[in-house]
Amino acid sequence: MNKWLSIAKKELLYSFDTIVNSYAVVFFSNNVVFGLLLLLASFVDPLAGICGLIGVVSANVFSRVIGLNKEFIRKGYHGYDAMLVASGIAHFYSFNETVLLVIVCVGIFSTLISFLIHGILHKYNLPTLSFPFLISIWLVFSAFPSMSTMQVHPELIYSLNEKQKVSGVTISIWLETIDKLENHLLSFPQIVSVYLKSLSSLFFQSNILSGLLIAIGLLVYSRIAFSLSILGFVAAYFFYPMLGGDVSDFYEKFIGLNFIFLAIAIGGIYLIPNIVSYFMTVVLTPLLIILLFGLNKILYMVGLAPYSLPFTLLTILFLHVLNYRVSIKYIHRVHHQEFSPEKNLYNFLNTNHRLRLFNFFPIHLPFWGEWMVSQAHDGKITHLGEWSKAFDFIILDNEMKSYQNPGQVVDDFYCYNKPVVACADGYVVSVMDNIEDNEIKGINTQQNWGNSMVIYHADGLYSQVSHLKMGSLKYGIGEFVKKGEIIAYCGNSGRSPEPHIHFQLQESPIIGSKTLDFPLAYYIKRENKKFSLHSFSKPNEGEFIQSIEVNPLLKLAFELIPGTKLNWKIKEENQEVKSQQWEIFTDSLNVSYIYCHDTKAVAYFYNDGNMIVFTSFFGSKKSLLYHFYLAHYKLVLGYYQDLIIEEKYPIATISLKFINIIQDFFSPFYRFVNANYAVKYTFIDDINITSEIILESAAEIKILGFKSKAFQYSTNLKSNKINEFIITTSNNKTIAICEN
Amino acid sequence: MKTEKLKYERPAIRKMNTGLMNKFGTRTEYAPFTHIDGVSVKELINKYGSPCFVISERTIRKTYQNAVRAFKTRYPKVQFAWSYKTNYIDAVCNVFHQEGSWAEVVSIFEYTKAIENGVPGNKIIFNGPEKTKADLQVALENNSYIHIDHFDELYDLIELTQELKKTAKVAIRVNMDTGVYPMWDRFGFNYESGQAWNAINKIMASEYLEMVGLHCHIGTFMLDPNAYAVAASKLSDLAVNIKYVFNKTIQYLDLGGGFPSANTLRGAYLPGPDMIPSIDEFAEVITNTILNYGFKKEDLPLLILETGRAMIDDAGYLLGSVIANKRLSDGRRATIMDFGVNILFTAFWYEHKITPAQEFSSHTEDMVIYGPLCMNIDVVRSSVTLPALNKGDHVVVHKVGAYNMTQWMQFIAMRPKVTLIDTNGNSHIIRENETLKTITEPERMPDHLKTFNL
Repeated sequence: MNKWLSIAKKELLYSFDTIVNSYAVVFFSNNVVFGLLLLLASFVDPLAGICGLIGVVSANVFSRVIGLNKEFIRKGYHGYDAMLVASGIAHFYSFNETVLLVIVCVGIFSTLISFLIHGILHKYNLPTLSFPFLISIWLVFSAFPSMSTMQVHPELIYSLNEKQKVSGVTISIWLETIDKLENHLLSFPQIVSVYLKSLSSLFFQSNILSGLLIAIGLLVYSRIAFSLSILGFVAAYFFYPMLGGDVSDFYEKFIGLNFIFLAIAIGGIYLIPNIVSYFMTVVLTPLLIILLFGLNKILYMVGLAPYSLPFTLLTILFLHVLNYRVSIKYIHRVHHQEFSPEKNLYNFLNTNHRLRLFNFFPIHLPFWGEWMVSQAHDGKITHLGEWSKAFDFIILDNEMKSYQNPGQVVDDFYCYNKPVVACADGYVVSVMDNIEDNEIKGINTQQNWGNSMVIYHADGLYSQVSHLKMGSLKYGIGEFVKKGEIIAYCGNSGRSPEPHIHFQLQESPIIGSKTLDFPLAYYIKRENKKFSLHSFSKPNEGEFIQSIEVNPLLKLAFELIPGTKLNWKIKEENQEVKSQQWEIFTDSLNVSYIYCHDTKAVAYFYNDGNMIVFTSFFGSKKSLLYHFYLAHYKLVLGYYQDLIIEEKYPIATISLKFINIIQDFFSPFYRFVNANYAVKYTFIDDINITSEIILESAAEIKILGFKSKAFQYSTNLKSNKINEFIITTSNNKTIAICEN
Repeated sequence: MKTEKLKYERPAIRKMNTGLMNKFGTRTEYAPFTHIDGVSVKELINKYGSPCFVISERTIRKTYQNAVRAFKTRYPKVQFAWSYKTNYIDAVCNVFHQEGSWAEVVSIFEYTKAIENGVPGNKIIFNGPEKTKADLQVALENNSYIHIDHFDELYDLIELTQELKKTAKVAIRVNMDTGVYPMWDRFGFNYESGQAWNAINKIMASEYLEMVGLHCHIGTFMLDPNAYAVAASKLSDLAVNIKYVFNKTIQYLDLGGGFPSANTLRGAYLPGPDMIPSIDEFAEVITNTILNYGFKKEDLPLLILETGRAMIDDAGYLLGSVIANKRLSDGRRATIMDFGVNILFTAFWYEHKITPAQEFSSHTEDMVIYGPLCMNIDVVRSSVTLPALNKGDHVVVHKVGAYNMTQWMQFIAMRPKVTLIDTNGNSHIIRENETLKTITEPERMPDHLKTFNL
């Protein structure tokens, strides 16, 4: 019995989600509150509301029955077109059984057509937008211009009496109340009421009250979307009369939403919101108006109205053009849609500065230990023209000499005959191994590259090491090499007056191809005794660099593989000891996360063997996991004494309640809230045989440069695991001990 | 320019040497050696007396860094441990510790010295055949690495750990045939006879012993790098077998020391610098052997080296003065110095390079150099070609940093000062000279012997 109950409960929740999301997704959102407010707004006209709901349900049931992706149905992708079409039908035709039948059928049709259009547009990396809705509603209007079974609504202008007549007495009280409210709202200034009426035209209404509900929902969902909607609207309100239109068209002809949708889509959903995207919104508005006039004339000939076509067309045209750019400077397309301009923006900032690892194939340094960059990209000596994006490496002693003794033979050079390792996994594609090593200061310009090896890593990404020692190449063509494996030894062959490694990335397997400007995944730079971490960047000439040498303790302590459980005993000052269990899972995209069974909090992370990076957190900001996420936001898995890694947290993960809301409004232009992360590698008992490490980190929130909140963390690693995690705030100290 | 009076050199009769003609005539092998790291020898002797040991901090650091570089550029994980017995003057040890060296000790005396120098217990390697139960307990409590030398020590340690219920981090010392003679088989457990594997089995079976490493020390003043290749491959073999049989990853291989310094061994045909392999050659064979042995990259053991002599010998100088000149019955010249085998113990096996610390002419003489002791064995060099030296002239003995300041004897004379020239060229006393009080203080006089009448 219980089993059935739980299944029923699950189904009910699922159905709820599918319905609410089908409404919210119209505004590119997946916010429940917004969805409910939209649902409520549609019920300002109860009959239209019911029709919309029927449309949603029919499309979703159909999708479910034929076995479409359950998650997509939940997200409302298949329901929203049907809902809009149904609202339209409810508006234009008197309600009867035939209308009901048409709504169900068209609900299904909108699902069918949406797949075709999605299939076409997706190839060009473009969204489907309102096309399915438009085609469906045009279909209905063309099919039933005026038929006995489908009566066009006798009174298209809103009237209480009319509605009452149709819907019966039961809902008359509701309608009366709404009417009263509406009368109160009529006192709004014209621009506000037109804005609200434009919003309500979503449900083919011109109603201030439902517009108000939608506006509130929009504000709850996203401050950026809300401000964009106003920006787009105001621009249109200004330009429309200028181009000879009358703003009453906004709600009478249901076209006002075009401006609002364009603003949200261009300003914050498909592009990262910033000053340029806002500017674009304003620039495109007059164009949208012209498009609207034109389309209106053309469609009028076949007896149809453009509805949301102008916005859909213009958005797609604009996005399509962006795909052909060769230089990306100010306008950034959203690659991973989060259905919220704020999330898109914060994610972008986060990814752009921090998570570059997702953008590049990881290439590591081709040697062990510390070497110096004797020539970097665009080096003045030989890294010129098409071969400018290469590195030369040598070994220097403390006196900055590259050799001992008199330095007259290759053996005197520190780097000569030292291992050269594979910079990443790959197949050997070219080798040269029989060129005699030069004497010091001798240059072989006939065989410029000397002994070399080219490794294939990915399509269009090859690495080449050159000037290797004759006969030292360990692999031949076709063999697979693993990252960090010795592939040869440093020599002095080719155009090399003294031993060094030449390292470059290139597009083709031929030795000496044109070089690629590609960053190195990670390296540690040393300046005197100070270490600094560099990720996905390129070293400069004269820098002393080394690969990350992974520390086994750090590696094991943060080897959070799925199935691992962490049991915590948490002792807060003056409180009883609590226990918590965390478990590691992976989702369907193979992204790992820590899940806390007790607080239900989730922290996503990424561990590539060199670094562990926490990418996002969901759940209570009082939980231990939240602090764990903040404290280990970015860690390198090698130990370097006093190394400090600094980073900025996405503002959204910091709880500041209403300050966050204010920040959201300004975030595309100026971020006055800053959350800074810093970790310091404080203590290690021994670098080679490690049994204890202490990391100290801090999360600091600054508002307009003033410190508002700070957490201090200390993590102790021992016996191959995280041993102790201490959280210190200004007035409290929590000690969590991991008992595994 | 100040003109200096030409130095008087006594006349000498020399046998005609045939050889290739050259316009310079016969010359000594050395130029005068007047400064150490920019500090004048004369000044040092005036300040600290003669004889006196001088250690160059710059040379220690340079030698150390060179050795580290030789290994670290070839192998990812390398650790040096300073062999205390080679020179355990605290200042010298601390130079090494500052450079990142652990401590390798062979007695509780050295162990305590390391602890007092501030070396953390877990960075001390405790070697040597003599470790009492009390010594082991100290090492155990400090979490030091205990290198077991024989079964009796192993049994002691098993007993002790069981009593204290504390886990000891242990390694065994392994002796083996590396193709060099004499084979050092008196330390540790033998590899070829299976004794080492037997000891490993016993350790793996005991509850409180954690097998963390393998150690060997194949000899001293090794002139053949290939012996280390054999040693490294035999240790690797044990490590791989331990992984295979017990699924236990060995954390380190300790190849010990034994790298030679550039001194010339007595009876060697060629002078030292021409004969000894460079540290790079040792690094090459050792690291190549381990890297190619077939360890998984993440299981590659830490490579520990306990190099002593090669690290410090070059940095030590002994300054001395001529006491007298003599002619022996066979006509050979003899020069008596104020230092002898009492403080230059290594003179027993090296032909030390000795250079005058002042200008001299090109005329040289074959001579014997004696120390000041009233003992027949006190010969510093039995035959060396040097210019004529006058009473009071100063000489510098090179490459004396290893073993002299630990094996020296208070015999007949007292031990001199040891000084150190830091990297800025300032000199410091790091060990005072002995006085009568140093020697008589520990002495006790029974009452009945307190007085006498002569």
